Amino acid sequence: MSKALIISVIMHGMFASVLAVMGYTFHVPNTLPPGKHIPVNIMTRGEFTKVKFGGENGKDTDKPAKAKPVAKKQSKRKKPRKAIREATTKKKTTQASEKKAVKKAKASKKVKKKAPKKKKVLVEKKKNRDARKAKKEFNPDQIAALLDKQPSDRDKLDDKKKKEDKNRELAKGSDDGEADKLTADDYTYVASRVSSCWNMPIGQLGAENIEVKVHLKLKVDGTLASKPQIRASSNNIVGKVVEETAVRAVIACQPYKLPVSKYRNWKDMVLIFDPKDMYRE
Amino acid sequence: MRKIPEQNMRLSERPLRMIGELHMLKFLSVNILIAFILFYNILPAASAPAEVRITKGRIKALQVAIPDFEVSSSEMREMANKITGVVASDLEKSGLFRLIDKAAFIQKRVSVDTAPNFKDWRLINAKGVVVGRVSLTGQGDIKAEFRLWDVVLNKPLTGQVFTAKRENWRRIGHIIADVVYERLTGETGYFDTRVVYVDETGPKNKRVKRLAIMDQDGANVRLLTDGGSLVLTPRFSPTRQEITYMSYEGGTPRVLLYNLDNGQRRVVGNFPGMTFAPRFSPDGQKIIMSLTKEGSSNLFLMDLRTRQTTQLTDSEAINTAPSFAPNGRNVVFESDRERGQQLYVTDLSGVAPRRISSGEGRYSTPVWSPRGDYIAFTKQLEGRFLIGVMRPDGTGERILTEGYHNEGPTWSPNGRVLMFFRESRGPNGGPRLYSVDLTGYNEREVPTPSFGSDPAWGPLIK
Repeated sequence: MSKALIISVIMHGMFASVLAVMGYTFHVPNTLPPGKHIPVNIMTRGEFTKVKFGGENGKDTDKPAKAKPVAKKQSKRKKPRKAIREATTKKKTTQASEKKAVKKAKASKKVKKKAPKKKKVLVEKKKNRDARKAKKEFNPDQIAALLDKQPSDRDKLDDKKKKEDKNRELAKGSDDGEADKLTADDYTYVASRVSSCWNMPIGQLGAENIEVKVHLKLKVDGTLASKPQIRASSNNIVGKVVEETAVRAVIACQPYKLPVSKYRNWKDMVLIFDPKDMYRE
Repeated sequence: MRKIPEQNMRLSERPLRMIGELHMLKFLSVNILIAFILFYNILPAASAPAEVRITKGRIKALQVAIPDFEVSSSEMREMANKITGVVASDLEKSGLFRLIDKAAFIQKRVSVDTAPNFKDWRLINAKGVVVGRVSLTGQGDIKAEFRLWDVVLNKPLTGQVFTAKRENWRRIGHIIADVVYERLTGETGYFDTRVVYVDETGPKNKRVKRLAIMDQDGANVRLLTDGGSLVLTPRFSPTRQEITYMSYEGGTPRVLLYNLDNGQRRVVGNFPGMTFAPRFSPDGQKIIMSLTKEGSSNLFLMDLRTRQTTQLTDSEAINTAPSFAPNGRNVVFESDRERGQQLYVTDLSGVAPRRISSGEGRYSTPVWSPRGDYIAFTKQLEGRFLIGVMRPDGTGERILTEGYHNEGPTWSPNGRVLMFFRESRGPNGGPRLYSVDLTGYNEREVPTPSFGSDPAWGPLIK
């Protein structure tokens, strides 16, 4: 009983306080604070375009069509006042156009709220101008770059190092090991590439029964890291010749352009040279 | 107080040491699990490299370079050039090698005593480089040294030194070519060999046929008979510089033996009737031939030492053109015992010959390859004469060449190339010698001073 009473009191209290707040709010008159009354000129589309691209008499440094095609599109959609605000914030407008735009904006006596933003924009513009000026100033550190537009050796080394680092990263492969497994296309690529270099003098008696396994160790760039090793060496002269043709093919065909991300799975490779099919009639 | 055995205690009651052991066990089991995962996932990737099977290759001539051999004196320059010319010609005619033009050489002079500049040769796509030196010995003989380099594998493959009489300079070239061929293909060479054939001169209706011998490339032709009597089917001994042939000397066809070293001739035997198509056994001790008697021809085997004769076939058909298998136990021959001329294989007992040819047309002049894997034959089909090969069991028949009148194939001693003759049409036409390899792509005419037919390839000269 007492609990219900307490709840009821709390609820009623809350209700009363809400009513009190609402009553105060509704009592406040919905009027703008007294201030300067500024008449607003509505810009035509033509005037807006002039402001955007350098003002009535201003020179445009950028080509309109290429400069901001997106802004142009937007200008068609947006209300003129908003468009002015955006247009004045564009970095590529010239100083003259900016000044004109500011003058126009001042003359038109825009609402007070907009003024600080304008100022902000102008400050930014000034900052940008200063930055550009600073950039143009002579910098003794960049003499080499000014004299020679080619990238320096150091840059090249840095690039190379970056590439190597990237390769190394990629070569580590993914942790799960599934994504970097060699695909059927990778195997086909290796087989067709080596086949194109395997110059086998066909017709020797018994050569069709010889199978030569060549073990390769490859670098990330697909070249041989060491001399290819013959795994199953043959005793007779025909076997020896087939082995030599296989090793010649492996050397002649490098580099092997396989995905670097799968390096883990192709850095060691065994090529099985099987001339049986070359003898089929 | 009775102490409770630790293993009977509840976990909470067990001493800390034991709980530590349990943790250790857990730790170990986790480690084992990790080890398993590593073993089945990572280690196989490291220990079992990707395997790629290469089943197709490029059938292209191997590029070889032969820079000018060094010479001991300017007098030897021409000799050295002639020798390298023979080497280059032999290798190129085999169809397995392509000689690189000397104008493309970066390294112009290579000493036989030093390694060539491998990079320079690789740049012009050479695979092998043959370097050498020719000099004169104190006795006035030629001394030729050569070395074959593999410029891809950067290693010497072979090298030899020869001494020979000046007039044998061609043989030096052939021998060098044989060594290079053998080292780069794995097959025995066939360049230092000779071919015996029937030289034909005069008008078509009055041909003079003489026995002749030449190097396998058509050089050094020498006539062995004077043309006074007809000679046919010369055959080389596989072991000696000796030939057997049929001669109509005295009006009767007889089988003769001719020793090339001393020029002696002797009659193999007097047989009743006519003897045809003699051929040596692989050991050179027997001759197999056909003998015609009362309208039928049968095969006979004669031992040259004992002069004993054994009849192999006994039928009323025409059994002829026998040729031994290299194992010396089987013989292939042609016979019309069934419908048309076909090829049969029999053993030396001659019992139940087995037919091996099965295609359309008439098969004749079978010759068993010295390496035993093929039987070459002439096939007559719809007016065309074809030269082909088939396996000894009759499978894998392949036609290598065809023409107006092809006939009489003979194998090179390494069993890779066939020589045969081809008759040309017209009143001025006549037989010429040709060679074709087992692929059928490398067909060439063997130049002879006059018409030539019925070639027989001899063994490597020892």
